[in-house]
Amino acid sequence: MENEALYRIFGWRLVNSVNDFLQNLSSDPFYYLPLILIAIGVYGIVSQKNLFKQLLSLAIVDTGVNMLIVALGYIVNMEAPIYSPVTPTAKFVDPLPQALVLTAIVIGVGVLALGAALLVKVHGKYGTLEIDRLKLLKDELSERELSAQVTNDKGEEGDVGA
Amino acid sequence: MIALLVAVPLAFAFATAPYRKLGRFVVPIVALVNLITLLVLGPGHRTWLGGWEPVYGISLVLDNASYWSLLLANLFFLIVTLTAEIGEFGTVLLVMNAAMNGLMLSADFFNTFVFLEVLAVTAYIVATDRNNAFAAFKYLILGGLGGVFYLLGAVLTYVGGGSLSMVFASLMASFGDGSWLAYPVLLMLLGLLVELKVLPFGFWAPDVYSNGSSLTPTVLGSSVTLAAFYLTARINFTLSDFEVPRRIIEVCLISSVASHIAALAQKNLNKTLAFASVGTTSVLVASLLTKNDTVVAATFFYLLTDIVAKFVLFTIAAHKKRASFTSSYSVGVAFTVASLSLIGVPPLGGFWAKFYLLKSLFSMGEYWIPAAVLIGTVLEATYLTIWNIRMWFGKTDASETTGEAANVELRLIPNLVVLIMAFTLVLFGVFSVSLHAATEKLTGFFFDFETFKSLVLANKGR
Repeated sequence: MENEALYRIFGWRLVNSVNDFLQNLSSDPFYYLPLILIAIGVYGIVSQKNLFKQLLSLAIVDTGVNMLIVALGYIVNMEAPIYSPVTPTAKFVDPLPQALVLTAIVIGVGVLALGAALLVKVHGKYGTLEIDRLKLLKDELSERELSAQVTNDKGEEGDVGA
Repeated sequence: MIALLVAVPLAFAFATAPYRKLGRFVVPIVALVNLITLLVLGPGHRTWLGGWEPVYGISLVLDNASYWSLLLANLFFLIVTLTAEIGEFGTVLLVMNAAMNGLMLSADFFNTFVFLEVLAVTAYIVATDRNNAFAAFKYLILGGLGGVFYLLGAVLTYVGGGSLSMVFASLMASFGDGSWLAYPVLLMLLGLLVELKVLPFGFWAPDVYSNGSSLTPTVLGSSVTLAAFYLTARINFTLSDFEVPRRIIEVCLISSVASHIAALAQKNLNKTLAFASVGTTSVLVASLLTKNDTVVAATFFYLLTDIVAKFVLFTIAAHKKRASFTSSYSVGVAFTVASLSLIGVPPLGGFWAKFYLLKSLFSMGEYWIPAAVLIGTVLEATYLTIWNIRMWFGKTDASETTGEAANVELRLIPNLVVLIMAFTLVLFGVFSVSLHAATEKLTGFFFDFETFKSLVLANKGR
């Protein structure tokens, strides 16, 4: 029954891998928190009407994904991947996902900083970050710009004529 | 040597960062240097960064597929930078050029993620042209989410296949049943659909493309779109064990038809062209995902003609002052030729693009994509005819209000480039057989996994 439902949703032949993934998820508690964070973030992006809250939701998704990647590299009863007198042999968790996450964090911070800078610009232009209000103001502004341009064109033509 | 294609634009980006106005003069020169570097090098090169072999390290590969794609992307980049008003975006465009080249050279999932994100960040900045920060923010949110999906897909490939190398992931998949590829590739594909502006992932595109800038729609619609298409093709054809879910193709088709209907309803030319761009790209993504070689060859043909035609239309739309072509016939002719090519009027390139695509789709037994192409054609014909009449006879959105009509104003170089590009569409039509043969060859390079593999894994670095 579950297989049929999954097959209907995805419409492909690889239902077994979906089941394996779901079984791993249910047996491994390390994945719970990251997946909850990703779900909260995606919900925030879809539901929030304030642009800053949307940006924060993206930050939550980023954090969730980074935690999930680190969790994917975790091996039970293994050490942190740092050579030391205490851990002279490599009984480590997989260090590669951690290295990838470091890069992903840097990129994520860059994107969030750019997003914040864009919001400053948006607030400077419209005076609000609420989407409903922004849409109204945007329409008003474009109409005003259009009529101002038309007035300018008329003025310029009049000057040329004079 | 091939790392120069990334290093040179990046070095100039840092060098011009303190001198913002200098950047705009350096960008075309760097694009030209890239083209010369590519022509001198030729295909068949690869670099293991830091001397680390594949599985452990990052590989940059210039095989036939990436070589021809890079040539085209850099050629379009050069044309855009010569034509568009770059303003203070020179440094950003240099970083974009480096990211675009890096993306096409990478044979590694995580490296493509890094370059994709850098490319996306530069695209967000370019999208702010004409004080369009709100639309750029929408792009950033959707692009950020797409980037996260792509990253997850890349990491799951590592979890499933034990390597981030595209070649090794494909080899690992071929050893078993390859079913583990389903999740990673699907996630990466969802991430790419944002950049490929397929609705609903591409909801950012209409607002960003219609900002009235001559730079934003032309650079995003040509080089960046080409880079995104390249990566989609590379991932899908290298990981050939992955079967694209039919649902994704259906989403692309719905996106195409909905966008063309939205284009028909617009009263602003930039907005109409923005939706038209989304509509065409969506149907091309659907065709690409069929993974049928003749369909993919026709898709590349269509993509080329569409990029050239949209470049002409967006450039002219950016320079019009709510206007008509009454005193600039050359611009008007270019606009009409590009429109006719988009509609698919023979003997222009657009006609042959649609002909080859429909022919190949029918021969593989696919009927839904041709239906979307034909519906799109009817809608395109309607709104582009309306806009041509308005532009030639001065009945634009503003002139309807005022009864006045100003003229389209294009400087000499953009005017010349637009005319040449319009003429290119005629040439595409005249030499359609040769061009189709060339795109078939390009498709063959994408499907040639053995050559790609041997180049990545060859013992001696070059």
